[in-house]
Amino acid sequence: MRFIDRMKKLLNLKKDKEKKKIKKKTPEHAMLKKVYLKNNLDENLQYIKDKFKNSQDIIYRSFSAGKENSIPAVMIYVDGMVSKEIVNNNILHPLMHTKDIQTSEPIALNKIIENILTVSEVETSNDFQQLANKLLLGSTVVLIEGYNEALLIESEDAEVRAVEEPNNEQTLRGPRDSFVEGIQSNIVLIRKRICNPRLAVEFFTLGRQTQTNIALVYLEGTASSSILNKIRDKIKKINEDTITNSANVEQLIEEHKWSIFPQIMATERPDRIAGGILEGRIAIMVDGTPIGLIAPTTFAMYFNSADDYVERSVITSMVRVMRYISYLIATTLPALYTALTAFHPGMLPTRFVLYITGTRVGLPFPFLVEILFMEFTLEMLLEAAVRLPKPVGQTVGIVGGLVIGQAVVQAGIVSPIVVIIVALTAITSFASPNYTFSLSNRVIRIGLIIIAATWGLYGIVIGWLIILIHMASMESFGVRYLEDFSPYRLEELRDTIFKAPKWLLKGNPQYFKDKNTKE
Amino acid sequence: MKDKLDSVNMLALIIHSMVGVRLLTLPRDIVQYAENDGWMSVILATILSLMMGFSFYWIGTKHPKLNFSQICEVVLGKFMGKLIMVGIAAYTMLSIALSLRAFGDSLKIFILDTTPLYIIVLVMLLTSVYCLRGGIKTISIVFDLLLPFVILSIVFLILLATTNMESKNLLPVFYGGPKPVFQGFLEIVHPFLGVGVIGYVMPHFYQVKKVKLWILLAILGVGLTYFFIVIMCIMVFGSQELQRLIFPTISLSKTIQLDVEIFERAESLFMTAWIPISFTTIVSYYFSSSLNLKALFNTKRDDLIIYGQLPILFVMALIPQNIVQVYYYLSINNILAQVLSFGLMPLILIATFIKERRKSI
Repeated sequence: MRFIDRMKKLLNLKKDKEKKKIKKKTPEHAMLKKVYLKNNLDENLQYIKDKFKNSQDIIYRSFSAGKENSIPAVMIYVDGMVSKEIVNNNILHPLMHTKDIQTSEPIALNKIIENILTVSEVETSNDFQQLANKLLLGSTVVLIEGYNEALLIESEDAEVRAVEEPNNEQTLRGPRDSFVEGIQSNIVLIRKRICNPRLAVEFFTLGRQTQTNIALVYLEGTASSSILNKIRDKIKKINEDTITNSANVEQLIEEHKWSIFPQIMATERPDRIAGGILEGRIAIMVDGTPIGLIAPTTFAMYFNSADDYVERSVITSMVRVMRYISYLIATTLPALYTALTAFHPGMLPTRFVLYITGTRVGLPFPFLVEILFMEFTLEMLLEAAVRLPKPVGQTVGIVGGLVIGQAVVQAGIVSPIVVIIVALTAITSFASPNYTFSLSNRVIRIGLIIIAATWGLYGIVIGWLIILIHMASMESFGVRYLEDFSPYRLEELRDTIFKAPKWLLKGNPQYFKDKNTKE
Repeated sequence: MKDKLDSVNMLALIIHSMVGVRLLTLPRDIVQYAENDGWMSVILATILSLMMGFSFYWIGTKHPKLNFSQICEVVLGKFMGKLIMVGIAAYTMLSIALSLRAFGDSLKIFILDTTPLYIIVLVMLLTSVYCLRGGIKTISIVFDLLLPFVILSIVFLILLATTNMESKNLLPVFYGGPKPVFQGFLEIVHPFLGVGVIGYVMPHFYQVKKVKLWILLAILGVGLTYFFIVIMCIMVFGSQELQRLIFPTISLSKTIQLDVEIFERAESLFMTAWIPISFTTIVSYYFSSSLNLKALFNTKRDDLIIYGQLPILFVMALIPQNIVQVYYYLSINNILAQVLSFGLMPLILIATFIKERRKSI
């Protein structure tokens, strides 16, 4: 019997859970659903006023449409979001002065749109939900007595930031514009660069509460259809209440959520996005964020900077090789130092080992503590410098430079070599062109230091093998993260580790060609 | 099966599975018999592995969707097929275990003298399993990325060692006649049987025909590598001294003296390159072994097979008490390799050939 009771309890619990789920699925704003406009103007107006009773920035302007035998009408808009000029001259003026609208013989709303209103985008709707959405996005709503449909007139003119110079990704010879918050102006920035009828822009609306616009921008025929379908599916599956940032979208559609490596490239430069689109990648723009996303992203893209394409190719190739080397230094040097000094001092030249031992006489802590202490200080300095306001930020630099550079050594806590090594890692990690990617260096660095302290050089190599396996196994939208380097393709080498001159850079990455077409 | 490979991937797959643990001991094994004609044995072995490689390739093209173990079953019937699979399983698993052991031993001698052997072996084994879990595509990407480093380190080793070589050590040429050369060749069948990986990766390729070129290049590359290592070892140490070295290749790197003081002991640096070399061989054999066992037990459960082998391999790697026993087991393994290459391969070739003839008639 007890068993049956337990089962019953379990079953009840399950039912409770189901009920909760159902409750969750119907959020508050759904109450506007399935309500349609009626013929009576007062009833409609009352309904809207009820729904927006706490929003005092909504303007209701009653007027009479038509010059003779006029009909009562109401115009509704959100204060500050609409252009007063459009509302006054192109909506209110024609509607009030027209002779077409008469009580005796009502005309179709179509006629009003065709003959009277001098605005380009007008819709009609009888759904309160749509009406409310449009109203909040900056349209003007006109309700007329006797019609069960409302006119939704596009009149958005909110305050926007002008296109400015990019802050984070600067170039010397590249273009100087960066994305702004509005999705429309961002798409225009892309379109200006790719004057091509094949440039496709697909809109989605995501976020039940926020109703955020998202656009997929790609070059039809160049972008692989299988990749495109995968991204589309992922975006359609998003079932979130709030989408406010492109990072939200990025985290929802990326495939390896626990990986430390970014899998979708975020950039504030329109030329970068345009370049990606021309290569066959797909851009994802999110309304309200000055950052665009490019997918699929591969490892080598994080080592390219916008300036690479304007400088001499031999120099760029050299700089790129140096970037890869500096990536290795930024991630491995502290670990290598730990391993060499603690496990294999025989590998270093004798005089150097003697010098290191000399500097360490009288130091109380082991290598590992010294390195970890300095790394921690460095990370905190970086963190402080990013968060603080600009004038104070410089002070942090001075304090950090003095404290870390001199005081720590003089006080006998850390040996001077460790200071040099930590400084080198800092410099080399700043050389990485992509900030999001360089954040992953920190995790690798600390992990390698610990594994090197346990198993020496063997630990470092095993650590790198594990990172390599992890990177190799990552696949986003059907493209492997390391697809640039494997399988070997001579064409890929032109724009990964090296950069060939422009006349050699023809064609797109091989991995975008649909794989089914082979054989 | 859903992961597909490009034909170029074959290059790294073959090189990595052939250049492995025996790189360290191979010069000594040959020189035991062939003395200073050891390099001729390498040429013989290269020819053998070319023949083996193209046999695997030819059999693979006849059954494009099956791996070698499954082909054995189809061609030779169920009972013989299973028997052969047991033989292959013994060979591959013994190879992995001994590779792990020899790797652990050499690492313990040259870099980590206080770390317990089982830790070194276990860490390596777990890393290989992690790589294996990613599937053939992941394996081939990892192999492709490691290949340049491995080749560079070997080329550096050979080039730097040229400072100490004395060509008179090669003389007299062919003094013992063909017999010692042939005996030396038999000793090194095992590493050259690494081409067997072709039989297990063939079903994963898009364009099977283009693979031929890469098989040829890979085997020639491996042949050259072993050839130069052996000839350098003979020239630097002389065949008498060489027979008394446990790991002649590492000793070769020990002889390197740089005029400029950058690295005091170059062999530790070579040991660092040695870790990925062993890793890739272990992964490649592990991959073949898993596919073979899957065919043996008629199962499709990857996880079960991969994790099931882990404890067995771990224990097998720790069974030998000392290096002498490791060499004893290595010689058993080499006999297995000889049986597989000179017994099984012709058998399957003939059986496939007869079947093809019947089909065409």
